[in-house]
Amino acid sequence: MLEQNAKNVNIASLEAAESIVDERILAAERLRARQEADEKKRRLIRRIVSAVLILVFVPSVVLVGLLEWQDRKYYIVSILIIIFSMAPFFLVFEKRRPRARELTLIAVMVALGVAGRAAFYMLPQFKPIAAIVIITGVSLGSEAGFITGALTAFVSNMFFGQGPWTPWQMFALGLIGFLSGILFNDQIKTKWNLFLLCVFGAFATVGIYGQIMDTQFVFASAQKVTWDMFLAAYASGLPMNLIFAAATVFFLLVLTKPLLNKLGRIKKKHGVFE
Amino acid sequence: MRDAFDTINPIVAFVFFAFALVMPMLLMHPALLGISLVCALIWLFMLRGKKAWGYILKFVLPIMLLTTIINPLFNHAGITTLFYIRFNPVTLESIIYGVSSAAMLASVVLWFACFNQIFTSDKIVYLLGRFAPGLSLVVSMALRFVPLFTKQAKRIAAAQRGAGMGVGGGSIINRARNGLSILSSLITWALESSVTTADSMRSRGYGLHPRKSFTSYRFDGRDALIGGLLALGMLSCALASGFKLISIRFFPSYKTNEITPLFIAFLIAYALTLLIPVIMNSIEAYRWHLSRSKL
Repeated sequence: MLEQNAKNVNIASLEAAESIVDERILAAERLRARQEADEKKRRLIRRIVSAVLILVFVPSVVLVGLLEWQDRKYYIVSILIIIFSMAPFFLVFEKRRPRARELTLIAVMVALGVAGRAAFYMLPQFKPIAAIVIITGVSLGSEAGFITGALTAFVSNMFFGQGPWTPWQMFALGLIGFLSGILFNDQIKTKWNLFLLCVFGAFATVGIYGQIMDTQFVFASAQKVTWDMFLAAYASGLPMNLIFAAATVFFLLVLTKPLLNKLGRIKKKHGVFE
Repeated sequence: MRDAFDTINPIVAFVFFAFALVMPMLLMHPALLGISLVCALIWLFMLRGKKAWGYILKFVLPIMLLTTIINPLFNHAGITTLFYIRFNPVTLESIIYGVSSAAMLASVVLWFACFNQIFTSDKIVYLLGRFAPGLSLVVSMALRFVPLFTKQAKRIAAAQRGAGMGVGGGSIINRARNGLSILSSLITWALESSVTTADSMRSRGYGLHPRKSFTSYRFDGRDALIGGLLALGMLSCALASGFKLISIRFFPSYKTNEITPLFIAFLIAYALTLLIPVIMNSIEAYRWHLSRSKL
């Protein structure tokens, strides 16, 4: 009888303990679900904020610059606009206190881009920078793409020399990384997707990077900006931009699949940028 | 010899460069441009010696030439027409503007040449670390990774060579394939080790305290003195342009301010402000000379 009792008590206490454990597990799971929902919400807000900033804020600053500062100081006004329009990205990035793993991963991609520029130093404009930035944006998302692009330009200029062109290069490469993160997800499996990515790469180097850098030249030298000046600048910059575009397409063809695989593996294994 | 300006607080140095860069952009007055160009050139030659010539010939002269030519070709504003190219007037004003903007760009590029000598990577990381700790960490890590990756690539290449898959042998396609496999294992290694680095950072308390940097700069009396002189120079610039001591108009006709004694005084103040590094270097050289002659 006593033994029976003891057994009953034992079973009861065991059951009680089990239910406590169950409750705790449930609570932990609920907490995690809530955290994940929070994280998702925050990510959505961040995406909306960055989209609004780049699609609304930048053009409006340009408009204000054109309408208000009719002082014909195009050069300083344009540099200011470029710096202003980069600031929100950096602010959002700093504000959310990025995790150490995100920082080191971005640093690796920046270093790869810089080393790539140094490795192909002999061939003018034939560099893998844009391809690496695009792949980073595709795999790690638009925000990481922007930060990687801008910092690749900044750090590589620490080796090759900073100048008034630095903010422009930072902005152009950052924009390429940002757009590639918005336009593509990292499911580049078929040949058609890769083709689309290469088309985007060619467009990004000629249409975004080349155009921004040639525009910089016009703003730097002209007192009154006219259409034929832009046309002349774009025409004279086109050969160099085409070489850069060819390099970008080449490196995208070679690097996209292996790099996306490796980055995907790191993301899955260590739970970063998911 | 180490430049005297190299040792002052990076914040003061940054303000100096910002001042030197922005003034010619804001006011393209021939006197200001001339002073800015001359001061930048003197300092650049102090910093780089004969190597400065290469920089000038490679970067500064082509930019100046291009800007001087492009402006009169595309800009036909101004009232003094000199001659016509295919029915398009070439005006004196746009030529003057072309020369001025060429001088402005040249002075910007020259100041940046000095900036690149003074602002080494540790100073940039120090400055960034105060405003953007995350970004400055990425910058400093990327700077470290570049030589690290090069070294690791060499190691991988040596191992592949030992296994008979070196880049040196075989057909071109084979070599390219071997090169790519070196790149592939380098990238895998880099990504994997970046996570290890991050874990090690976390376990050592990354993010718990505000960031500190490798080099620490105290704000000492000399920094305060130079900062004060800089502030005086900026104030005089603001006053001069506020009270229309200095003004310039290019179009429709070229017109500058009258030359008054106050204007000359302002120019001297501006020149002295820009010459701060050069003066510091001269004082150091004189001290060195004195202490040597005492021996």
